[in-house]
Amino acid sequence: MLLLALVILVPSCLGFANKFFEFVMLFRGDADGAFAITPILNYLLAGFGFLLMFFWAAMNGMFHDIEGPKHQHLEREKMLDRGRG
Amino acid sequence: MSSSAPSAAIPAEIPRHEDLVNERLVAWYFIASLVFLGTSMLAGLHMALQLVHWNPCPDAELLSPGRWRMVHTNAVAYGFLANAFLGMLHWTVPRLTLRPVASSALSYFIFGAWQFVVLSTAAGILIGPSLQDAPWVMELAAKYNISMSLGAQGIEWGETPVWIDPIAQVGLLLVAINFMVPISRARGPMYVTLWYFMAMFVWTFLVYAMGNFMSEYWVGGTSGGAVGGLFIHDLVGLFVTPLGWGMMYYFVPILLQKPIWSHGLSLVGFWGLAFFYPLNGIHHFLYTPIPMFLQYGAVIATIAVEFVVTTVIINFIGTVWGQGKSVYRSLPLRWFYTGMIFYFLTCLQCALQVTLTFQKLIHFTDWVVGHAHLVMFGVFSLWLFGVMTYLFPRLIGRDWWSPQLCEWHYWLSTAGVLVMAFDLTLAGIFQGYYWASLQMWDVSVDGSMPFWITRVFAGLAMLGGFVCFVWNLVMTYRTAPAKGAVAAV
Ligand code: HEM
Repeated sequence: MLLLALVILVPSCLGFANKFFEFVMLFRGDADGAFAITPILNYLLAGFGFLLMFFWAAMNGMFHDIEGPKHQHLEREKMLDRGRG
Repeated sequence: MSSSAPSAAIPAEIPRHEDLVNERLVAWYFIASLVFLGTSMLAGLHMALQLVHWNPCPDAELLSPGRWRMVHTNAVAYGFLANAFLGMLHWTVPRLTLRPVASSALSYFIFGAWQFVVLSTAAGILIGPSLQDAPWVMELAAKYNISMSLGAQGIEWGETPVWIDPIAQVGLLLVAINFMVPISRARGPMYVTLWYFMAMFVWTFLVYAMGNFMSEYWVGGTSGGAVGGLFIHDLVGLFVTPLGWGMMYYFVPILLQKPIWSHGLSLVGFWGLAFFYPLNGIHHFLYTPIPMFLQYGAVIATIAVEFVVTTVIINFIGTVWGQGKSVYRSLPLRWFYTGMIFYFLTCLQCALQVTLTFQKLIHFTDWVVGHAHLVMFGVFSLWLFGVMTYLFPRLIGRDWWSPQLCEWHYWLSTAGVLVMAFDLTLAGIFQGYYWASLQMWDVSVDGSMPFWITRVFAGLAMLGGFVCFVWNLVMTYRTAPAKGAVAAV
Protein backbone atom coordinates (compact mmCIF):
# COMPACT_ATOMS: atom_id res chain seq x y z
CA MET A 1 0.00 0.00 0.00
CA LEU A 2 2.74 2.38 1.06
CA LEU A 3 4.77 1.41 -1.99
CA LEU A 4 1.81 2.07 -4.25
CA ALA A 5 1.30 5.46 -2.63
CA LEU A 6 4.97 6.31 -3.17
CA VAL A 7 4.88 5.14 -6.79
CA ILE A 8 1.95 7.45 -7.43
CA LEU A 9 2.83 10.39 -5.23
CA VAL A 10 6.55 10.88 -5.85
CA PRO A 11 6.40 11.30 -9.65
CA SER A 12 3.23 13.43 -9.44
CA CYS A 13 4.77 15.75 -6.84
CA LEU A 14 7.97 16.06 -8.83
CA GLY A 15 6.04 16.71 -12.03
CA PHE A 16 3.89 19.34 -10.36
CA ALA A 17 6.87 21.09 -8.73
CA ASN A 18 8.66 21.15 -12.07
CA LYS A 19 5.66 22.58 -13.93
CA PHE A 20 4.98 25.12 -11.22
CA PHE A 21 8.60 26.26 -11.27
CA GLU A 22 8.46 26.69 -15.06
CA PHE A 23 5.25 28.61 -14.68
CA VAL A 24 6.64 30.99 -12.08
CA MET A 25 9.70 31.58 -14.29
CA LEU A 26 7.44 32.38 -17.20
CA PHE A 27 5.54 35.04 -15.31
CA ARG A 28 8.45 36.54 -13.42
CA GLY A 29 8.57 40.27 -13.82
CA ASP A 30 5.19 40.41 -15.50
CA ALA A 31 2.74 42.36 -13.34
CA ASP A 32 -0.28 40.71 -14.96
CA GLY A 33 1.19 37.28 -14.45
CA ALA A 34 0.73 37.57 -10.72
CA PHE A 35 -2.99 37.02 -11.06
CA ALA A 36 -2.54 33.55 -12.43
CA ILE A 37 -0.28 32.60 -9.57
CA THR A 38 -2.45 34.06 -6.80
CA PRO A 39 -5.12 31.33 -6.72
CA ILE A 40 -2.51 28.57 -6.93
CA LEU A 41 -0.47 30.10 -4.16
CA ASN A 42 -3.60 30.45 -2.07
CA TYR A 43 -4.36 26.81 -2.63
CA LEU A 44 -0.83 25.66 -1.89
CA LEU A 45 -0.74 27.59 1.36
CA ALA A 46 -4.09 26.24 2.54
CA GLY A 47 -3.23 22.75 1.29
CA PHE A 48 0.11 22.80 3.06
CA GLY A 49 -1.58 23.75 6.32
CA PHE A 50 -3.90 20.80 6.00
CA LEU A 51 -1.06 18.48 5.07
CA LEU A 52 0.65 19.46 8.32
CA MET A 53 -2.57 18.89 10.21
CA PHE A 54 -2.94 15.50 8.57
CA PHE A 55 0.55 14.45 9.71
CA TRP A 56 -0.13 15.83 13.18
CA ALA A 57 -3.34 13.81 13.35
CA ALA A 58 -1.62 10.64 12.16
CA MET A 59 1.20 11.05 14.67
CA ASN A 60 -1.21 11.67 17.52
CA GLY A 61 -3.11 8.46 16.97
CA MET A 62 -6.22 10.09 15.52
CA PHE A 63 -6.51 7.28 12.97
CA HIS A 64 -5.95 4.41 15.39
CA ASP A 65 -9.13 2.54 16.18
CA ILE A 66 -10.74 4.48 13.40
CA GLU A 67 -14.29 3.31 14.14
CA GLY A 68 -14.09 4.03 17.87
CA PRO A 69 -15.36 7.63 17.88
CA LYS A 70 -18.69 6.71 16.29
CA HIS A 71 -19.55 4.44 19.23
CA GLN A 72 -18.36 6.98 21.78
CA HIS A 73 -20.53 9.60 20.14
CA LEU A 74 -23.73 7.62 20.71
CA GLU A 75 -22.74 6.51 24.17
CA ARG A 76 -21.94 10.04 25.25
CA GLU A 77 -25.25 11.31 23.92
CA LYS A 78 -27.14 8.65 25.86
CA MET A 79 -25.31 9.53 29.07
CA LEU A 80 -25.94 13.24 28.62
CA ASP A 81 -29.64 12.71 27.98
CA ARG A 82 -29.95 10.33 30.92
CA GLY A 83 -28.52 12.93 33.27
CA ARG A 84 -30.61 15.75 31.82
CA GLY A 85 -32.85 17.47 34.35
CA MET B 1 -15.18 -1.91 10.71
CA SER B 2 -13.92 -2.72 14.12
CA SER B 3 -16.04 -2.05 17.13
CA SER B 4 -13.84 -0.71 19.87
CA ALA B 5 -14.13 -0.39 23.62
CA PRO B 6 -16.67 2.38 23.39
CA SER B 7 -16.03 4.29 26.56
CA ALA B 8 -12.25 4.64 26.20
CA ALA B 9 -12.42 8.42 25.83
CA ILE B 10 -15.45 9.05 28.02
CA PRO B 11 -14.77 9.88 31.66
CA ALA B 12 -16.76 7.90 34.24
CA GLU B 13 -18.29 11.12 35.60
CA ILE B 14 -19.60 13.21 32.79
CA PRO B 15 -20.79 16.82 33.16
CA ARG B 16 -24.48 17.62 33.12
CA HIS B 17 -26.04 18.86 29.88
CA GLU B 18 -27.18 22.00 31.72
CA ASP B 19 -23.58 22.86 32.59
CA LEU B 20 -22.43 22.39 29.01
CA VAL B 21 -25.09 23.88 26.77
CA ASN B 22 -26.46 27.39 27.02
CA GLU B 23 -29.94 26.56 25.76
CA ARG B 24 -31.15 30.13 25.88
CA LEU B 25 -28.43 31.19 23.47
CA VAL B 26 -29.20 28.30 21.11
CA ALA B 27 -32.84 29.43 21.04
CA TRP B 28 -31.86 33.08 20.49
CA TYR B 29 -29.67 32.15 17.55
CA PHE B 30 -32.43 30.07 16.00
CA ILE B 31 -34.99 32.84 16.45
CA ALA B 32 -32.64 35.46 14.97
CA SER B 33 -32.01 33.14 12.03
CA LEU B 34 -35.75 32.80 11.42
CA VAL B 35 -36.24 36.57 11.50
CA PHE B 36 -33.58 36.96 8.81
CA LEU B 37 -34.97 34.08 6.78
CA GLY B 38 -38.40 35.70 6.75
CA THR B 39 -36.86 39.01 5.68
CA SER B 40 -34.84 37.30 2.99
CA MET B 41 -37.83 35.44 1.60
CA LEU B 42 -39.86 38.65 1.37
CA ALA B 43 -36.91 40.28 -0.39
CA GLY B 44 -36.65 37.33 -2.82
CA LEU B 45 -40.35 37.57 -3.52
CA HIS B 46 -39.99 41.30 -4.13
CA MET B 47 -37.27 40.70 -6.72
CA ALA B 48 -39.25 37.87 -8.28
CA LEU B 49 -42.27 40.17 -8.63
CA GLN B 50 -40.14 42.87 -10.22
CA LEU B 51 -38.95 40.36 -12.82
CA VAL B 52 -42.54 39.72 -13.89
CA HIS B 53 -43.27 43.47 -13.90
CA TRP B 54 -45.44 43.36 -10.78
CA ASN B 55 -43.18 45.50 -8.60
CA PRO B 56 -45.51 46.41 -5.71
CA CYS B 57 -43.66 49.66 -4.85
CA PRO B 58 -42.16 51.06 -8.05
CA ASP B 59 -41.53 54.56 -6.75
CA ALA B 60 -39.76 53.88 -3.47
CA GLU B 61 -36.01 54.14 -3.91
CA LEU B 62 -35.30 52.30 -0.66
CA LEU B 63 -37.45 49.41 -1.81
CA SER B 64 -35.80 49.08 -5.20
CA PRO B 65 -35.56 45.37 -6.03
CA GLY B 66 -31.90 45.70 -7.05
CA ARG B 67 -30.99 46.62 -3.49
CA TRP B 68 -33.34 44.04 -1.99
CA ARG B 69 -31.82 41.32 -4.13
CA MET B 70 -28.57 41.86 -2.25
CA VAL B 71 -30.45 41.94 1.04
CA HIS B 72 -32.03 38.63 -0.05
CA THR B 73 -28.71 36.84 -0.54
CA ASN B 74 -26.87 38.47 2.36
CA ALA B 75 -29.70 37.94 4.85
CA VAL B 76 -29.87 34.29 3.84
CA ALA B 77 -26.16 33.60 4.04
CA TYR B 78 -25.08 35.70 6.99
CA GLY B 79 -28.40 36.22 8.76
CA PHE B 80 -30.15 32.88 8.42
CA LEU B 81 -27.50 30.25 7.73
CA ALA B 82 -24.75 31.72 9.91
CA ASN B 83 -27.06 32.35 12.88
CA ALA B 84 -28.70 28.95 12.66
CA PHE B 85 -25.32 27.22 12.38
CA LEU B 86 -23.99 29.19 15.36
CA GLY B 87 -26.98 28.05 17.41
CA MET B 88 -26.37 24.47 16.33
CA LEU B 89 -22.67 24.76 17.24
CA HIS B 90 -23.58 25.92 20.75
CA TRP B 91 -25.51 22.67 21.16
CA THR B 92 -23.23 20.18 19.43
CA VAL B 93 -19.67 21.24 20.28
CA PRO B 94 -20.07 21.19 24.10
CA ARG B 95 -21.91 17.85 23.94
CA LEU B 96 -19.27 16.31 21.69
CA THR B 97 -16.32 17.55 23.70
CA LEU B 98 -17.95 17.40 27.13
CA ARG B 99 -16.67 20.90 27.71
CA PRO B 100 -18.49 24.24 27.59
CA VAL B 101 -17.47 26.95 25.13
CA ALA B 102 -14.47 29.09 26.17
CA SER B 103 -16.61 31.88 27.59
CA SER B 104 -20.31 32.31 27.95
CA ALA B 105 -19.90 36.10 28.06
CA LEU B 106 -17.99 35.94 24.79
CA SER B 107 -20.84 33.92 23.31
CA TYR B 108 -23.34 36.63 24.20
CA PHE B 109 -21.01 39.30 22.86
CA ILE B 110 -20.60 37.42 19.57
CA PHE B 111 -24.36 37.01 19.32
CA GLY B 112 -24.87 40.78 19.60
CA ALA B 113 -21.93 41.64 17.37
CA TRP B 114 -23.09 39.26 14.64
CA GLN B 115 -26.59 40.75 14.57
CA PHE B 116 -24.95 44.18 14.32
CA VAL B 117 -22.85 43.02 11.36
CA VAL B 118 -25.83 41.59 9.50
CA LEU B 119 -28.09 44.57 10.19
CA SER B 120 -25.41 47.08 9.22
CA THR B 121 -24.84 45.14 6.03
CA ALA B 122 -28.53 45.47 5.21
CA ALA B 123 -28.47 49.17 6.14
CA GLY B 124 -25.34 49.73 4.03
CA ILE B 125 -26.93 48.03 1.05
CA LEU B 126 -30.25 49.82 1.37
CA ILE B 127 -29.33 53.37 2.34
CA GLY B 128 -25.64 53.43 1.44
CA PRO B 129 -26.12 54.34 -2.22
CA SER B 130 -28.56 57.17 -1.40
CA LEU B 131 -26.37 58.45 1.41
CA GLN B 132 -23.27 58.27 -0.73
CA ASP B 133 -24.60 60.92 -3.09
CA ALA B 134 -25.83 63.30 -0.38
CA PRO B 135 -23.98 66.62 -0.68
CA TRP B 136 -22.89 66.69 2.98
CA VAL B 137 -21.39 63.21 2.70
CA MET B 138 -19.53 64.14 -0.49
CA GLU B 139 -18.26 67.27 1.22
CA LEU B 140 -17.03 65.32 4.23
CA ALA B 141 -15.39 62.71 2.01
CA ALA B 142 -13.61 65.40 0.00
CA LYS B 143 -12.53 67.30 3.10
CA TYR B 144 -11.00 64.31 4.83
CA ASN B 145 -9.98 62.55 1.64
CA ILE B 146 -12.01 59.44 2.38
CA SER B 147 -12.59 57.31 -0.68
CA MET B 148 -14.47 54.61 1.19
CA SER B 149 -17.79 53.46 -0.22
CA LEU B 150 -20.75 53.50 2.16
CA GLY B 151 -22.93 51.16 0.16
CA ALA B 152 -22.46 47.60 -0.98
CA GLN B 153 -18.92 46.44 -1.71
CA GLY B 154 -18.53 45.44 -5.35
CA ILE B 155 -17.76 41.80 -4.61
CA GLU B 156 -20.33 39.10 -5.16
CA TRP B 157 -21.32 37.60 -1.78
CA GLY B 158 -18.95 40.12 -0.20
CA GLU B 159 -21.42 43.00 -0.48
CA THR B 160 -20.94 43.72 3.21
CA PRO B 161 -19.80 47.37 3.09
CA VAL B 162 -16.04 47.81 3.45
CA TRP B 163 -16.30 49.53 6.82
CA ILE B 164 -17.95 46.43 8.36
CA ASP B 165 -15.43 43.94 7.00
CA PRO B 166 -12.85 44.36 9.79
CA ILE B 167 -15.56 43.94 12.45
CA ALA B 168 -16.84 40.77 10.79
CA GLN B 169 -13.29 39.47 10.50
CA VAL B 170 -12.66 39.96 14.22
CA GLY B 171 -16.04 38.37 14.94
CA LEU B 172 -15.01 35.26 13.01
CA LEU B 173 -11.77 35.08 14.98
CA LEU B 174 -13.69 35.25 18.26
CA VAL B 175 -16.07 32.52 17.12
CA ALA B 176 -13.10 30.31 16.28
CA ILE B 177 -11.50 30.90 19.67
CA ASN B 178 -14.72 30.29 21.57
CA PHE B 179 -15.23 26.86 20.01
CA MET B 180 -11.64 25.79 19.45
CA VAL B 181 -10.91 25.91 23.18
CA PRO B 182 -13.27 23.02 24.05
CA ILE B 183 -12.30 21.14 20.88
CA SER B 184 -8.58 21.39 21.62
CA ARG B 185 -9.17 20.13 25.17
CA ALA B 186 -11.13 17.07 24.08
CA ARG B 187 -9.32 13.78 24.59
CA GLY B 188 -8.87 10.82 22.26
CA PRO B 189 -9.47 10.44 18.52
CA MET B 190 -12.01 12.97 17.32
CA TYR B 191 -15.41 12.22 15.87
CA VAL B 192 -15.76 13.32 12.24
CA THR B 193 -18.13 16.17 13.13
CA LEU B 194 -15.38 17.87 15.10
CA TRP B 195 -12.94 17.51 12.21
CA TYR B 196 -15.38 19.33 9.94
CA PHE B 197 -16.11 22.06 12.47
CA MET B 198 -12.47 22.60 13.35
CA ALA B 199 -11.48 23.00 9.71
CA MET B 200 -14.43 25.29 9.10
CA PHE B 201 -13.28 27.75 11.80
CA VAL B 202 -9.91 28.09 10.08
CA TRP B 203 -11.26 28.11 6.54
CA THR B 204 -14.02 30.63 7.10
CA PHE B 205 -11.62 33.09 8.69
CA LEU B 206 -9.18 32.77 5.78
CA VAL B 207 -11.85 32.73 3.10
CA TYR B 208 -13.51 35.87 4.45
CA ALA B 209 -10.18 37.68 4.53
CA MET B 210 -9.33 36.54 1.01
CA GLY B 211 -12.68 37.55 -0.50
CA ASN B 212 -13.21 40.85 1.25
CA PHE B 213 -9.73 42.31 1.59
CA MET B 214 -7.58 40.82 -1.16
CA SER B 215 -9.87 41.76 -4.04
CA GLU B 216 -10.68 45.14 -2.49
CA TYR B 217 -7.19 46.39 -1.74
CA TRP B 218 -4.55 44.29 -3.50
CA VAL B 219 -5.66 42.46 -6.61
CA GLY B 220 -7.93 44.12 -9.13
CA GLY B 221 -9.21 43.31 -12.61
CA THR B 222 -9.06 39.74 -13.79
CA SER B 223 -6.95 38.77 -10.80
CA GLY B 224 -9.69 40.12 -8.55
CA GLY B 225 -12.15 38.05 -10.57
CA ALA B 226 -10.11 34.91 -9.98
CA VAL B 227 -9.94 35.56 -6.25
CA GLY B 228 -13.64 36.45 -6.18
CA GLY B 229 -14.43 33.11 -7.81
CA LEU B 230 -12.48 31.26 -5.18
CA PHE B 231 -14.23 33.26 -2.48
CA ILE B 232 -17.77 32.53 -3.64
CA HIS B 233 -17.26 28.86 -3.95
CA ASP B 234 -15.15 28.53 -0.85
CA LEU B 235 -17.95 30.15 1.14
CA VAL B 236 -20.22 27.31 0.04
CA GLY B 237 -17.61 24.58 0.25
CA LEU B 238 -15.51 25.58 3.21
CA PHE B 239 -18.06 27.38 5.40
CA VAL B 240 -21.51 25.95 4.70
CA THR B 241 -20.59 22.42 3.55
CA PRO B 242 -18.38 21.39 6.51
CA LEU B 243 -20.99 22.76 8.90
CA GLY B 244 -23.76 20.94 7.07
CA TRP B 245 -22.00 17.60 6.85
CA GLY B 246 -20.63 17.87 10.38
CA MET B 247 -24.16 18.54 11.58
CA MET B 248 -25.56 15.53 9.70
CA TYR B 249 -22.88 13.23 11.10
CA TYR B 250 -23.91 14.42 14.55
CA PHE B 251 -27.71 14.26 14.33
CA VAL B 252 -28.45 11.34 11.97
CA PRO B 253 -26.89 8.64 14.24
CA ILE B 254 -28.69 10.10 17.27
CA LEU B 255 -32.07 10.02 15.57
CA LEU B 256 -31.53 6.55 14.13
CA GLN B 257 -29.94 5.40 17.39
CA LYS B 258 -27.30 3.69 15.37
CA PRO B 259 -23.71 4.72 14.62
CA ILE B 260 -22.68 6.02 11.24
CA TRP B 261 -21.99 3.19 8.81
CA SER B 262 -18.26 3.83 8.47
CA HIS B 263 -16.32 6.40 10.42
CA GLY B 264 -13.25 5.64 8.28
CA LEU B 265 -15.15 6.54 5.12
CA SER B 266 -16.41 9.74 6.72
CA LEU B 267 -12.80 10.76 7.34
CA VAL B 268 -11.94 10.04 3.70
CA GLY B 269 -14.73 12.50 2.85
CA PHE B 270 -13.34 15.11 5.20
CA TRP B 271 -9.75 14.96 3.97
CA GLY B 272 -10.93 14.77 0.38
CA LEU B 273 -12.84 18.02 0.87
CA ALA B 274 -9.83 19.61 2.54
CA PHE B 275 -7.46 18.85 -0.32
CA PHE B 276 -9.67 19.08 -3.40
CA TYR B 277 -12.21 21.75 -2.62
CA PRO B 278 -10.03 24.86 -2.41
CA LEU B 279 -9.20 24.67 -6.14
CA ASN B 280 -12.85 24.49 -7.24
CA GLY B 281 -13.73 28.19 -7.20
CA ILE B 282 -12.50 29.05 -10.66
CA HIS B 283 -15.18 26.79 -12.15
CA HIS B 284 -17.49 29.81 -11.75
CA PHE B 285 -15.40 31.53 -14.37
CA LEU B 286 -15.16 29.08 -17.23
CA TYR B 287 -14.81 30.90 -20.56
CA THR B 288 -13.51 34.08 -18.92
CA PRO B 289 -10.06 35.67 -19.52
CA ILE B 290 -8.67 33.65 -16.60
CA PRO B 291 -5.95 31.34 -18.04
CA MET B 292 -7.30 28.06 -19.39
CA PHE B 293 -4.97 25.93 -17.28
CA LEU B 294 -6.61 27.38 -14.14
CA GLN B 295 -10.03 26.65 -15.56
CA TYR B 296 -9.03 23.06 -16.39
CA GLY B 297 -7.53 22.72 -12.91
CA ALA B 298 -10.88 23.76 -11.43
CA VAL B 299 -12.71 21.26 -13.64
CA ILE B 300 -10.48 18.41 -12.48
CA ALA B 301 -10.70 19.44 -8.83
CA THR B 302 -14.49 19.53 -9.16
CA ILE B 303 -14.56 16.01 -10.55
CA ALA B 304 -12.45 14.92 -7.58
CA VAL B 305 -14.95 16.55 -5.21
CA GLU B 306 -17.77 14.65 -6.93
CA PHE B 307 -16.07 11.42 -5.82
CA VAL B 308 -15.69 12.77 -2.30
CA VAL B 309 -19.38 13.66 -2.17
CA THR B 310 -20.25 10.17 -3.36
CA THR B 311 -18.42 8.64 -0.39
CA VAL B 312 -20.45 10.81 1.98
CA ILE B 313 -23.76 9.90 0.37
CA ILE B 314 -22.88 6.19 0.38
CA ASN B 315 -22.10 6.49 4.07
CA PHE B 316 -25.48 7.96 4.92
CA ILE B 317 -27.32 5.43 2.76
CA GLY B 318 -25.35 2.67 4.50
CA THR B 319 -26.38 4.09 7.86
CA VAL B 320 -30.10 4.15 7.15
CA TRP B 321 -30.05 0.79 5.33
CA GLY B 322 -32.73 -1.48 6.78
CA GLN B 323 -34.40 1.40 8.66
CA GLY B 324 -35.98 3.23 5.73
CA LYS B 325 -39.34 3.50 7.52
CA SER B 326 -37.90 5.68 10.25
CA VAL B 327 -37.12 8.30 7.61
CA TYR B 328 -40.81 8.51 6.88
CA ARG B 329 -41.90 8.40 10.52
CA SER B 330 -39.45 10.87 12.05
CA LEU B 331 -39.85 14.33 10.60
CA PRO B 332 -36.31 15.55 11.43
CA LEU B 333 -34.89 12.50 9.68
CA ARG B 334 -37.16 13.12 6.74
CA TRP B 335 -35.83 16.70 6.47
CA PHE B 336 -32.27 15.34 6.61
CA TYR B 337 -32.67 12.66 3.97
CA THR B 338 -34.73 14.89 1.66
CA GLY B 339 -31.88 17.39 1.88
CA MET B 340 -29.48 14.60 0.98
CA ILE B 341 -31.47 13.72 -2.13
CA PHE B 342 -31.33 17.38 -3.12
CA TYR B 343 -27.62 17.36 -2.39
CA PHE B 344 -27.19 14.48 -4.77
CA LEU B 345 -29.22 16.34 -7.42
CA THR B 346 -27.14 19.48 -6.89
CA CYS B 347 -23.95 17.51 -7.40
CA LEU B 348 -25.41 15.91 -10.49
CA GLN B 349 -26.04 19.41 -11.82
CA CYS B 350 -22.45 20.30 -10.91
CA ALA B 351 -21.16 17.36 -12.92
CA LEU B 352 -22.90 18.78 -15.99
CA GLN B 353 -22.12 22.42 -15.25
CA VAL B 354 -18.43 21.83 -14.95
CA THR B 355 -18.03 20.59 -18.50
CA LEU B 356 -17.09 23.37 -20.90
CA THR B 357 -19.60 22.14 -23.48
CA PHE B 358 -22.48 22.49 -21.07
CA GLN B 359 -21.21 25.77 -19.64
CA LYS B 360 -21.44 27.24 -23.10
CA LEU B 361 -25.19 26.72 -22.92
CA ILE B 362 -26.04 27.67 -19.36
CA HIS B 363 -23.53 30.39 -18.47
CA PHE B 364 -25.30 33.46 -17.01
CA THR B 365 -28.73 31.83 -17.34
CA ASP B 366 -31.33 31.04 -14.68
CA TRP B 367 -29.97 27.50 -14.48
CA VAL B 368 -27.44 28.91 -12.01
CA VAL B 369 -30.13 30.62 -9.94
CA GLY B 370 -32.03 27.31 -9.81
CA HIS B 371 -28.86 25.53 -8.72
CA ALA B 372 -28.28 28.16 -6.01
CA HIS B 373 -31.77 27.67 -4.54
CA LEU B 374 -31.48 23.91 -4.72
CA VAL B 375 -28.31 23.89 -2.66
CA MET B 376 -28.95 26.77 -0.27
CA PHE B 377 -32.60 26.05 0.44
CA GLY B 378 -33.07 22.45 -0.73
CA VAL B 379 -30.05 21.17 1.13
CA PHE B 380 -28.75 23.37 3.92
CA SER B 381 -32.00 25.07 4.91
CA LEU B 382 -33.85 21.76 4.92
CA TRP B 383 -31.20 20.27 7.18
CA LEU B 384 -31.44 23.24 9.51
CA PHE B 385 -35.24 22.95 9.59
CA GLY B 386 -34.73 19.31 10.60
CA VAL B 387 -32.41 20.34 13.41
CA MET B 388 -34.82 23.05 14.58
CA THR B 389 -37.78 20.66 14.39
CA TYR B 390 -35.83 18.29 16.61
CA LEU B 391 -34.33 20.82 19.01
CA PHE B 392 -37.05 23.42 19.55
CA PRO B 393 -39.21 21.06 21.66
CA ARG B 394 -36.15 20.36 23.79
CA LEU B 395 -35.29 24.03 24.11
CA ILE B 396 -38.83 25.12 24.96
CA GLY B 397 -39.57 22.03 27.03
CA ARG B 398 -42.81 21.02 25.33
CA ASP B 399 -44.03 19.15 22.27
CA TRP B 400 -44.89 20.92 19.05
CA TRP B 401 -48.27 22.62 19.31
CA SER B 402 -49.35 21.14 15.98
CA PRO B 403 -47.59 18.22 14.29
CA GLN B 404 -49.81 18.94 11.26
CA LEU B 405 -48.25 22.38 10.87
CA CYS B 406 -44.83 20.70 11.02
CA GLU B 407 -45.97 18.50 8.14
CA TRP B 408 -47.24 21.53 6.20
CA HIS B 409 -43.89 23.20 6.72
CA TYR B 410 -42.14 20.16 5.31
CA TRP B 411 -44.38 19.62 2.30
CA LEU B 412 -44.72 23.28 1.26
CA SER B 413 -40.97 23.86 1.55
CA THR B 414 -40.02 20.69 -0.28
CA ALA B 415 -42.59 21.11 -3.05
CA GLY B 416 -41.78 24.83 -3.36
CA VAL B 417 -38.06 24.38 -3.78
CA LEU B 418 -38.51 21.39 -6.08
CA VAL B 419 -40.74 23.40 -8.40
CA MET B 420 -38.49 26.45 -8.21
CA ALA B 421 -35.33 24.49 -8.98
CA PHE B 422 -36.91 22.50 -11.82
CA ASP B 423 -38.53 25.62 -13.25
CA LEU B 424 -35.34 27.70 -13.24
CA THR B 425 -33.24 24.82 -14.55
CA LEU B 426 -35.56 24.55 -17.51
CA ALA B 427 -35.63 28.35 -17.90
CA GLY B 428 -31.83 28.30 -18.05
CA ILE B 429 -31.79 25.77 -20.88
CA PHE B 430 -34.35 27.78 -22.85
CA GLN B 431 -32.43 31.03 -22.29
CA GLY B 432 -29.19 29.33 -23.35
CA TYR B 433 -30.73 28.21 -26.62
CA TYR B 434 -32.35 31.61 -27.28
CA TRP B 435 -28.95 33.27 -26.90
CA ALA B 436 -27.09 30.61 -28.85
CA SER B 437 -29.46 31.06 -31.76
CA LEU B 438 -28.69 34.80 -31.70
CA GLN B 439 -32.30 35.85 -31.17
CA MET B 440 -33.04 39.35 -29.91
CA TRP B 441 -32.56 39.78 -26.15
CA ASP B 442 -36.27 40.65 -25.77
CA VAL B 443 -37.24 37.30 -27.22
CA SER B 444 -35.37 35.53 -24.44
CA VAL B 445 -36.99 37.76 -21.82
CA ASP B 446 -40.47 37.05 -23.21
CA GLY B 447 -39.63 33.34 -23.32
CA SER B 448 -38.56 33.44 -19.67
CA MET B 449 -41.80 35.01 -18.44
CA PRO B 450 -43.77 31.77 -17.80
CA PHE B 451 -40.83 30.44 -15.80
CA TRP B 452 -40.50 33.60 -13.77
CA ILE B 453 -44.24 33.60 -13.02
CA THR B 454 -43.96 29.98 -11.86
CA ARG B 455 -41.08 31.02 -9.59
CA VAL B 456 -43.34 33.54 -7.84
CA PHE B 457 -45.78 30.76 -6.93
CA ALA B 458 -43.03 28.37 -5.88
CA GLY B 459 -41.64 31.14 -3.66
CA LEU B 460 -45.09 31.70 -2.17
CA ALA B 461 -45.24 27.99 -1.27
CA MET B 462 -41.85 28.20 0.45
CA LEU B 463 -42.96 31.31 2.29
CA GLY B 464 -46.21 29.56 3.26
CA GLY B 465 -44.23 26.68 4.76
CA PHE B 466 -42.13 29.14 6.70
CA VAL B 467 -45.21 30.93 8.07
CA CYS B 468 -46.60 27.55 9.25
CA PHE B 469 -43.34 26.89 11.10
CA VAL B 470 -43.20 30.28 12.78
CA TRP B 471 -46.88 30.15 13.73
CA ASN B 472 -46.40 26.68 15.19
CA LEU B 473 -43.38 27.88 17.13
CA VAL B 474 -45.23 30.84 18.60
CA MET B 475 -48.17 28.66 19.61
CA THR B 476 -45.87 26.01 21.06
CA TYR B 477 -44.20 28.66 23.16
CA ARG B 478 -47.50 30.08 24.34
CA THR B 479 -49.22 26.82 25.29
CA ALA B 480 -48.76 25.26 28.69
CA PRO B 481 -45.96 22.68 29.03
CA ALA B 482 -47.17 19.21 28.18
CA LYS B 483 -46.39 16.18 30.24
CA GLY B 484 -43.66 13.94 28.88
CA ALA B 485 -42.55 16.78 26.66
CA VAL B 486 -39.88 16.73 23.99
CA ALA B 487 -40.91 13.62 22.12
CA ALA B 488 -39.55 13.83 18.62
CA VAL B 489 -42.05 14.74 15.93
C1 HEM C 1 -39.72 33.17 -1.11
C2 HEM C 1 -38.81 32.44 -1.66
C3 HEM C 1 -37.76 32.95 -2.60
C4 HEM C 1 -37.89 33.65 -3.77
C5 HEM C 1 -39.16 34.07 -4.45
C6 HEM C 1 -36.56 33.89 -4.28
C7 HEM C 1 -36.26 34.59 -5.43
C8 HEM C 1 -35.00 34.95 -5.85
C9 HEM C 1 -34.69 35.84 -6.94
C10 HEM C 1 -35.72 36.55 -7.79
C11 HEM C 1 -33.36 35.93 -7.05
C12 HEM C 1 -32.56 36.77 -8.07
C13 HEM C 1 -32.35 36.00 -9.32
C14 HEM C 1 -31.71 36.83 -10.40
O1 HEM C 1 -30.92 37.73 -10.11
O2 HEM C 1 -31.98 36.56 -11.58
C15 HEM C 1 -32.79 35.07 -6.04
C16 HEM C 1 -31.43 34.85 -5.86
C17 HEM C 1 -30.91 33.99 -4.92
N1 HEM C 1 -31.63 33.35 -3.91
FE1 HEM C 1 -33.64 33.36 -3.66
N2 HEM C 1 -35.67 33.33 -3.43
C18 HEM C 1 -36.36 32.76 -2.38
C19 HEM C 1 -35.82 32.11 -1.29
C20 HEM C 1 -34.49 31.84 -1.12
C21 HEM C 1 -33.91 31.11 -0.03
C22 HEM C 1 -34.71 30.61 1.15
C23 HEM C 1 -32.58 31.01 -0.27
C24 HEM C 1 -31.51 30.33 0.54
C25 HEM C 1 -31.69 29.61 1.61
C26 HEM C 1 -32.29 31.69 -1.50
C27 HEM C 1 -31.05 31.80 -2.09
C28 HEM C 1 -30.75 32.58 -3.18
C29 HEM C 1 -29.44 32.72 -3.76
C30 HEM C 1 -28.19 32.03 -3.26
C31 HEM C 1 -29.54 33.60 -4.83
C32 HEM C 1 -28.41 34.08 -5.75
C33 HEM C 1 -28.42 33.27 -7.01
C34 HEM C 1 -27.34 33.67 -7.99
O3 HEM C 1 -26.78 34.77 -7.88
O4 HEM C 1 -27.05 32.87 -8.89
N3 HEM C 1 -33.47 32.19 -2.00
N4 HEM C 1 -33.81 34.50 -5.33
